[in-house]
Amino acid sequence: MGNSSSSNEKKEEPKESLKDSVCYQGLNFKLDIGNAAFMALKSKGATQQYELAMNVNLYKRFYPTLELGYAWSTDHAEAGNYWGTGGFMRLGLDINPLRKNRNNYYALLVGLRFGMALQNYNMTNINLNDSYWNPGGTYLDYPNQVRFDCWGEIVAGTQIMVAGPFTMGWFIRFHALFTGNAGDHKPYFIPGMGNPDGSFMSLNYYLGFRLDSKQPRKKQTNKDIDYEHNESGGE
Amino acid sequence: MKHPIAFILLLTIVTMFGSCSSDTKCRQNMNVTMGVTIEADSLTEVDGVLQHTHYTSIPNLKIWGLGTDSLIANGNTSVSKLQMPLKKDVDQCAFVFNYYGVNDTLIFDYTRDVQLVSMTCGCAVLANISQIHTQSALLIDSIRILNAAVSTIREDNVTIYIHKP
Repeated sequence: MGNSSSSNEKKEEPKESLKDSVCYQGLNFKLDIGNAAFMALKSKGATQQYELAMNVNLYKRFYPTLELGYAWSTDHAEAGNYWGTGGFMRLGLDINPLRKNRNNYYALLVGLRFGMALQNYNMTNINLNDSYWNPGGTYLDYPNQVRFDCWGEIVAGTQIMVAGPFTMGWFIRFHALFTGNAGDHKPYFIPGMGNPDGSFMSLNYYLGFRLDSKQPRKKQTNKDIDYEHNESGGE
Repeated sequence: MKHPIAFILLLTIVTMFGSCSSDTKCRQNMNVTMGVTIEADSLTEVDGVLQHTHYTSIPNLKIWGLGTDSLIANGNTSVSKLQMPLKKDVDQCAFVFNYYGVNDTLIFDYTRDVQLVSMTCGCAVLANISQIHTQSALLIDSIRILNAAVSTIREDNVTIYIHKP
């Protein structure tokens, strides 16, 4: 009898879950495929951007985030040619407003980002639209430009568990460029942000995996049992 | 499928992405011209009394950019307001005014602000007029800068007063 009761208790115990009071709950690594596909499709391969994201799960509530990426873009348009390449980094913090649950790896994330990009680009044969003074066209070149930009983002999205350690999620980003008036011209493309005169919004779709923090299980105390009881709504 | 909502969302996003295409036609106004008003005053003696007349429309006035053969005003119609383009690659340009055979050259000094609009539209070269002066003052009496900023927005930038014979 006693043996059977203890085996039932074992079955009900959550597997590898951490108490919410534990600060470090694990790491999440994510690879963006959504925005990369969007940019490549939209530009027919002329613009490509790849990014990796990493966040730390603290108390299942706070997610300090680091996003790193690399992009390049070429464009041969009516009014000029552009070629540029550069890296970017975004730093920020997400908050999961969902009710805490010890076994819940699903997160609704809202947060802020500060983005930075360093790029090298060439713009050639830029038409100055000077048809009266020079009907043949007046053109301008910006060769070997190096530019640093920074911007802010408000983000919202999800991070959900698919199977085992694998996760996926999406993010919607609203961004505002802080360095739009820097220099004598606005750049055509900013790695990590896109065209500064284009949409102020972008979307990411991530695939990732999580590395959970393992905590040695200790014997349950009455306090823990009460806590779990309250968490499950007192059922 | 474990998370149908997430996959539906992914499908929606991919469909939305697929429907996007880059714009290859410039739809913005790239015409940066200076709005100029031309007025004239004349003093004529009638029965020993000087009579002042103000003209806001000037016939037979020809205007062209120095070094070009393209007329901005061809003299066939009366001129009151016109749009004059500044040179986009240098900070100075000159216009020749011809009125009943009298020539005068008006020189505009300005600073430029090159703004890349897009790769399909090119650059809009905005200007800020710093100085206007004449070479001979045979025809042009005075100049008034109303708004030094020349942009794609059409507005009155300069009023030019000429001597009317």
